[in-house]
Amino acid sequence: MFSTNNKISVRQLQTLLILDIFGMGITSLPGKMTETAGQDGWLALIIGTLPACFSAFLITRLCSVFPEEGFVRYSRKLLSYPIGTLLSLGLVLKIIAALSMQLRIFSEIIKQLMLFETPIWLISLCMLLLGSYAASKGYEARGRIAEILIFVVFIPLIFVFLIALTDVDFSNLKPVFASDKIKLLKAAFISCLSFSPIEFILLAYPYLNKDKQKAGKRIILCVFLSGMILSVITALTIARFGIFDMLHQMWPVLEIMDTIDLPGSFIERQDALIMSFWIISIFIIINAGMFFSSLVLKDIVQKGTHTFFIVLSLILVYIISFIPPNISSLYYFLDKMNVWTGWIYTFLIPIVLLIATKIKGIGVNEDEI
Amino acid sequence: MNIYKSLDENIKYLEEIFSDCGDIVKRKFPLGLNNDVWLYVIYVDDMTNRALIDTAIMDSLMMEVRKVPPKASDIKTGIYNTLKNGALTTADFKETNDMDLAVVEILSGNTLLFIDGFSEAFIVSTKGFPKRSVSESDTEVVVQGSKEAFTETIRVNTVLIRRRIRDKGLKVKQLKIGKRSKTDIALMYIEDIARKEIVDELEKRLDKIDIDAVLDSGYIEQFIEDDWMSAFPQLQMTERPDKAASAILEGRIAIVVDNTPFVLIAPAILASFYQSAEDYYQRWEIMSFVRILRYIAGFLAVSLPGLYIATAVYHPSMIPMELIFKMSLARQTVPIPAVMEILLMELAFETLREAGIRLPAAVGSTLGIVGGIIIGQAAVDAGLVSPLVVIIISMTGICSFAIPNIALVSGYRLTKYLVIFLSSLLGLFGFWLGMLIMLIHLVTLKSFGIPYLFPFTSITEGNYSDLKDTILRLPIFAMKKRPIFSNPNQRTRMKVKKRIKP
Repeated sequence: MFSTNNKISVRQLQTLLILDIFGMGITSLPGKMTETAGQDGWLALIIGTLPACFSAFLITRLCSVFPEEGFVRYSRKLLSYPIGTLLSLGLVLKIIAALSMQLRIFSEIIKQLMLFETPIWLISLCMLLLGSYAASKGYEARGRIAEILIFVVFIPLIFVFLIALTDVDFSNLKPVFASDKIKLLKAAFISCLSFSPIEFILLAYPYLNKDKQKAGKRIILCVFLSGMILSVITALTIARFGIFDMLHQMWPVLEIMDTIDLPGSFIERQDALIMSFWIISIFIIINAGMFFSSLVLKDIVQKGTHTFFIVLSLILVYIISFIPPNISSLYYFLDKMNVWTGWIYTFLIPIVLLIATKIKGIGVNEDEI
Repeated sequence: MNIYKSLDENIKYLEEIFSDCGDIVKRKFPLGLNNDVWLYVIYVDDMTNRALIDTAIMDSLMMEVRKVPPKASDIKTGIYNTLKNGALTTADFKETNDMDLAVVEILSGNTLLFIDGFSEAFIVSTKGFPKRSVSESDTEVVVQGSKEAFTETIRVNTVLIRRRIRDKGLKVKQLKIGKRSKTDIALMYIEDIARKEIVDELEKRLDKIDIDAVLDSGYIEQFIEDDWMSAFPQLQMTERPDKAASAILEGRIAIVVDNTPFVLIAPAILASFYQSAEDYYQRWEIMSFVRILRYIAGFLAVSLPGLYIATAVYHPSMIPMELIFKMSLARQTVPIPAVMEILLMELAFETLREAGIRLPAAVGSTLGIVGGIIIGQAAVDAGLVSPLVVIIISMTGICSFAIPNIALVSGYRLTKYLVIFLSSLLGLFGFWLGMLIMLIHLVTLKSFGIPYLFPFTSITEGNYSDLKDTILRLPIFAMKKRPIFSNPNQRTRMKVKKRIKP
């Protein structure tokens, strides 16, 4: 019989991950990459995807040791109660902070491009309430939402880029590998950090319903796939605008959608329409953030209902999102936060925990995964 | 309570129960040459088949039995078996010693026969009340396919289904619901194809119903659906026996309720509401095309007015230059804001629809013309609404009628107002808020444990062939597997690997 037990399939987790990673990176990443690595930005993304895949490998390996337990429980078990709690709290804080920034950026963009007279607090509140409503419906519902929305996001996107292909100049991508190697690596590092939704796997793993042992490879594959999608989009954006134009644009991907001509189109300017796909991908991120932050909080306290913690994180996120004074400081905060904390939960902590499992002798079969 | 041995006590009891019931027919009469044994028949007038009572009971007891002289031992002590084996000339009768059951049976249209000296009575099935004959379906009209529709009589309805499935696995489980109405309800399913857990769950939910009367299957629906807060139907209602039969063959369960021509089908998912019986009777190419049309119509029925408000009020830059000029020209004379305009026309349309149901068919079409065309035209001429709004509202109405199921349309109709409200507040962002709220609601819905948006979501719970009968309707021979509703061990519908080449 079908579950009412809040479990998702591996396929749903894959879909969610692709949408999360994509939504996290799509607006800012191509711009950031070209800023740091010039026309090799897309290469930097490919290079950055590899460590991200490695991180996904570490995390799935760690999770497969504790297939039925959440992050809070096994980190407490492995690193003592206080340290485990501290790590979990840190994770919540990180998710909430990132969420607040994303929410603020989203509201700012919506206000600038679509709703000039609507107050920002209303836009943020509506989006946050929607994300929380979806989060309160549980993991199973999130998985199903993602299965529908992946089509709503990617079909228009593919369509737009197919049209954009008619007017691109691939010579903009030349010379390949010509940029400074240090800068290229730096860009790769930044791009790798933008794969932060990988850390959700830490929390999602116990919710998989079957095929847990096969999940590892499929999760790594979908991280790789998301990286490739972002890389292709970056390459196309560079090819279309050239790096000099791109440096002046805040959101080059949105720009590309705005400047293409839909052939024989009834629609005069498609910016508002194409924004739809982006509203949806941000919705997925906010939904994920709300869901996981409340989930970890609930695991830490081990009391209360999920809904209560959703309301709690809703209030936190809403307040924090108004702290940064403007968009550029927002991006500054977000970058700093990513650089300083991004690798902690995707690399450092999985490695530490994996070593701890070896020391404590809670092992995995080598032939698994 | 048990039936008394003494006939007089039974008569006294029944007389007391049925005092002031003018429609009950009772008769006490003797048997045998010397009036040895007294009998008592009781039934409800005109709920019974009078001819059957006369031939099977009265005639055979009063006339025929006298022709065979009974053995001496049979008189008094053996009369019960004599009557049982030799006198009642009908196949369908039962015995009971329970007075309460006897009373229920009398009220259901059966004839009770009490014998003096025995604490058992015969229930002779003589149901025969006035019933409507099988006629054409009004609500689910098809161009091609069976014209038959269910009637108000449960037995006729089960026969209409049984005639289509002559399988020994087809079970008709009867129960009575309603403390006072004692309405007959039949669960029809094929034992090996239906999922046992769904049948059990359904019976559990039906058992829990505690109500005085069930007057329509809608009562049952509201008691057993998964989420009563939802505007969307979680059980399918149909008037067509062929549709019920095809659902049963898919492993679903038909709930036939007495006194209503609407049969419930459980479980039901969103995709099943887009399926019409006719889809399978015609060529698959055209029906696939029609399916796509229906899904688009479903989307537009929810979204069109909201989308209009979002673009016209918030993002006029999306609309082509020529059109925006025309629109603003038309809107110049309109004194009310676009949102009010849409709401005004929507309400007018809804009222028209409601009024159309009440009116007799002959007047209904006149009202449609007067209401729709004349008032619409007059409103535009008077400058109350812009012509584009009239087009949008009519389009929305047409789209909603393209969906074959009324209950699903009702869900969309209500959601449409949410989308209109949010779009007027937040433009395209609000439009997507509304659509996402609907999506979130739909993904959380389940019908008897089956995800409502299956197979578009959770496809791994079933198999991919469930997609063959959704947005496209592939040829019948391509649908080799039964859908998700069926028992996983009985998924194969046909074994033929390849189509036979001519």
